[in-house]
Amino acid sequence: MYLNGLRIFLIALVISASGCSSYSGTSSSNGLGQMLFEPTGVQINSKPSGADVYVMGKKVGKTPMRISASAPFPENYNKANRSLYGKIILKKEGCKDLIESVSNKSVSSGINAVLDCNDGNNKATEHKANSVAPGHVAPGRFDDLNQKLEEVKKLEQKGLITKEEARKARERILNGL
Amino acid sequence: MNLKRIIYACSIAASMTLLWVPKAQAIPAFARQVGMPCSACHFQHFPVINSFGRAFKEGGFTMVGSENLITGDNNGKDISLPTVLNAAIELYNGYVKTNGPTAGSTPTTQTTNNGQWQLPGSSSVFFGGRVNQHTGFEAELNMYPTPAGLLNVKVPISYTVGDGSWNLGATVYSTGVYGPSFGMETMDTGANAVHLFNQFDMPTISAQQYINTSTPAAGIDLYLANPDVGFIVLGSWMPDQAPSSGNLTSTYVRAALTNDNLINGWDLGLGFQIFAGHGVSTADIPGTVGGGQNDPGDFFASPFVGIGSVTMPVPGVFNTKAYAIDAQALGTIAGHPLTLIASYANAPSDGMPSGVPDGFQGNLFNPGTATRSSFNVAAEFGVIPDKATIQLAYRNAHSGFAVPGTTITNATDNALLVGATYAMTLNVRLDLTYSHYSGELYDAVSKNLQATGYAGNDVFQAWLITAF
Repeated sequence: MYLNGLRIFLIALVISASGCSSYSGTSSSNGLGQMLFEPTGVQINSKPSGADVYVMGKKVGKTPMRISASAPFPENYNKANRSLYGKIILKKEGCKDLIESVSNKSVSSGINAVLDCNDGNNKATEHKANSVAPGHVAPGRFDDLNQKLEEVKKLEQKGLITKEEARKARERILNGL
Repeated sequence: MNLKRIIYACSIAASMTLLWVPKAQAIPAFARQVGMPCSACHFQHFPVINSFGRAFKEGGFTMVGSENLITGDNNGKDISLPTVLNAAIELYNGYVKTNGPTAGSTPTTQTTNNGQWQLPGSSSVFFGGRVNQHTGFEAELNMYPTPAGLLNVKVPISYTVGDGSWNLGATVYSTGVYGPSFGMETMDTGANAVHLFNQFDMPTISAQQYINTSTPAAGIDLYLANPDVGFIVLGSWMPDQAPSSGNLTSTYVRAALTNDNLINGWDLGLGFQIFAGHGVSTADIPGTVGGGQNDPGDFFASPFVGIGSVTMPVPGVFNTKAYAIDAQALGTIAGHPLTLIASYANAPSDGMPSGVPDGFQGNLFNPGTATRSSFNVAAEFGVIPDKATIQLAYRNAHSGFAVPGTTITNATDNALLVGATYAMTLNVRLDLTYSHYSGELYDAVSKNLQATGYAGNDVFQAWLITAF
């Protein structure tokens, strides 16, 4: 009698976790076990792949990889490591170091970094914006793109540029991808 | 299993699966402002804060990240507001079962002794963030249980001083549930309830909560803080929230050392609190003070009711006298996060300070006839980091109450807590808590003296917490 409440709750938990609902199966890449037992994580991909991943100054692996969401946010926030707090650094020979701040979006959607490498294969306007000195926050590449497109839209709505000019501007921005 | 239970189970399952949407973007107010995940400020889970969370709080909630600001021409000195007013909603749905002898036989008389779903048990909306370069704010509006309205609000004003790592600030606050430490507190020991790792039986894991420092309060704090060193708070307050006008007749002093360099990978803290002065009861203060940690911020009151409960004369004058010592260690063992807290609190039963006219001979933090004191230790271990934790806490306390008809002048009131948390996905968490109470307060004689609402000495709680 006393544990009836607990029993009901656990049954409810099992029902919801076992895929009765269409919602529980929407994450095609995440199996049930992963959903149940894996820490909330940040998926890190890079182009080209195989970049060394540094968290709080320590190498933790190579892309593609997944780190725990709290790894870039350790319990310490002391002066010595303050510039590294909340940041991930990607290093690959022949490419500029890339620093990404871990944001809400990183946790939910992962980090998809494009490195600025000597061979030019991955060069684009946005890459330069992402390659910044250590200790500085690099704006998210797609945030930047989104911001530019929003600006164009606003200018068009205000009548400051014509429809045709807006179309060309959008084209230029998207060609930079 | 009967039909009713199946319906219960399915309805809870439905709500869980609806909430169980992977990759949810839902984030609470401050996370929206700084553009960081909750783990940036919180250790293991909300609401425990790490040293970065401490820095954010001591800076008066003014730090911004990716969020755009509205700024004037004068380099942000005239106006520096986030473009969006950040808000969040917290929702607690749960089940509570106690083992008291009085179980209601009809729907209208049933209590937690019968087992009780609370859907919701509580819900509130938060607003918080930056007012300008040096000023922040936090406001919590209660939506349920009724009455709805302003629950907690504070406005910290903070300036950096010295080499830039110190914050000198002042906070004006009013709280219905968090007491005089609400103005500025950054340790996770229960010095203020807001940062405790278990929100469902706080008097078992924190001595300050056992002596019921979570009272209505309004006041002004001055503070000096450095997240790498510690903080000092000097406050004047009144044990009242509504009406919010009156004299600041009580004093609050708080000092703590915090350090995250002493032991590599560990964030340490050691501090004390002193409460002093008196308060004036008005018609707006609830007629009963103390009497069993009936903290309105708790979802479940500690199960001893009746013994020692006293009625506050209205109007009347009462004492506000207590002190506490607390310590914490937040760190990692073999890749698993661990929170350790310890606290001791003491509230005497003595009368009014000299010079105060005849009033109520009692203490806001101890309505008993002997000294109320408590020593608590508690731990939370991350079994699966960022996902699942287990909790353990022990309390060794004297209630301050005599048991009529016995020779007991200060009944013992001990407790053991075992808990677990499980983060289903971003911002959705399941908390399980089991508490067992023991000591002279629960002996046969004491039980017979309990009011009809006596809820026994075993409590099980399951709560689904959603913040978005």
